[in-house]
Amino acid sequence: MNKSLEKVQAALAGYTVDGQVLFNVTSTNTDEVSMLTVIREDIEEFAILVTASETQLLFNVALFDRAQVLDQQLASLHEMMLTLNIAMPLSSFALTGGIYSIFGAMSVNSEASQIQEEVLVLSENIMDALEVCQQFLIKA
Amino acid sequence: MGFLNNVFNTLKGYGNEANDAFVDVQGIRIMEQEIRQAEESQRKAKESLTDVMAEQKRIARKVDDLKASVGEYSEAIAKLLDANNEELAMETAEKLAELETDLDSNQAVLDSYNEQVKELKAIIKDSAKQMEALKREVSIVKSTEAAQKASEATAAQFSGTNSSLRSASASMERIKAKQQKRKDKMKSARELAKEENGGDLKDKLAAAGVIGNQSSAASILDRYRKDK
Repeated sequence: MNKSLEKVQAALAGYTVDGQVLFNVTSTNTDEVSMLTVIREDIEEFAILVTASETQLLFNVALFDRAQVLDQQLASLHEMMLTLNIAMPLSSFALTGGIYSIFGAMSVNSEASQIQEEVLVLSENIMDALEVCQQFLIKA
Repeated sequence: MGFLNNVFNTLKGYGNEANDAFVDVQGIRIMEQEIRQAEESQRKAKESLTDVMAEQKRIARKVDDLKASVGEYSEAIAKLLDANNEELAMETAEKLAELETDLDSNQAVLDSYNEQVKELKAIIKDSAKQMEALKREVSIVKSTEAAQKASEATAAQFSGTNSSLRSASASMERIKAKQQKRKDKMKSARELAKEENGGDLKDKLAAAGVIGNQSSAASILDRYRKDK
């Protein structure tokens, strides 16, 4: 596995919040992709996928795809995402390959404690981000 | 054109207009090929930068030498004029004129090399940034795809059967319901514990005024006052 991902895995191993282990980390290594899947126990549907390039660690959570957005609400959704990007702590909204997500990026030289904070804050942002986006989505 | 502009055009270029995706899984494969090619030309650009920098150093040395010579000949002319040696001064001045012309043209060449090195470095830095950016894009699309494929194992948000995600609204409702259920469970556990300690009955009796209020600061002070 990529050295940077090993570092992330080590930082999250045994990481506890209020004495509880919150995150379950698994690694995937194929010819195609090298990544970590970080799952927070109470929101297991929305996994944090961690990948690393030469300089950056990326923590990405897929929220929904284009097909779930109400057509007439697309521009409003985008405007809201741009407006809230600064407000959302440590994370930003993104659109990649037709899938909307929130993500955090950090230097591969980051300390373990910074990685833990990144993952915790990102995981805390998931439900808040979904909640604010829900008004623009097709109801289940 | 700036690197973000290039990245944007690249992503758009591989896009799938049908679903508004700038770049999809098929596009990613082609894009990866392009990144590899870009890396190859990056390597070549670095090589030519090395060549240009070697040449830049050579010219810089030449310019330094010429400057030193110009200085020496200038001093010599002054001394010769002081000594009224007009003839040799004239000869030296002719040589100096040659040297100055040589210096000027070499300085011009050096200036252009300095400029070229700056430009090449900027181009290399920009294209490195661009490749990093595209690689990040690739890593997001590919990791999402891999998670989608593995979704049955991880029970996560991807439907697994096709390329779309499960309904976010539905997932959210499920999570909220689960969280509420957990909260309810905790609450009833707390209540049960209270009942077992007779807490519930005590609360009711206290409310009815049958038994005294639970310890309060005032009642403790009263107790002390009585003791006195």
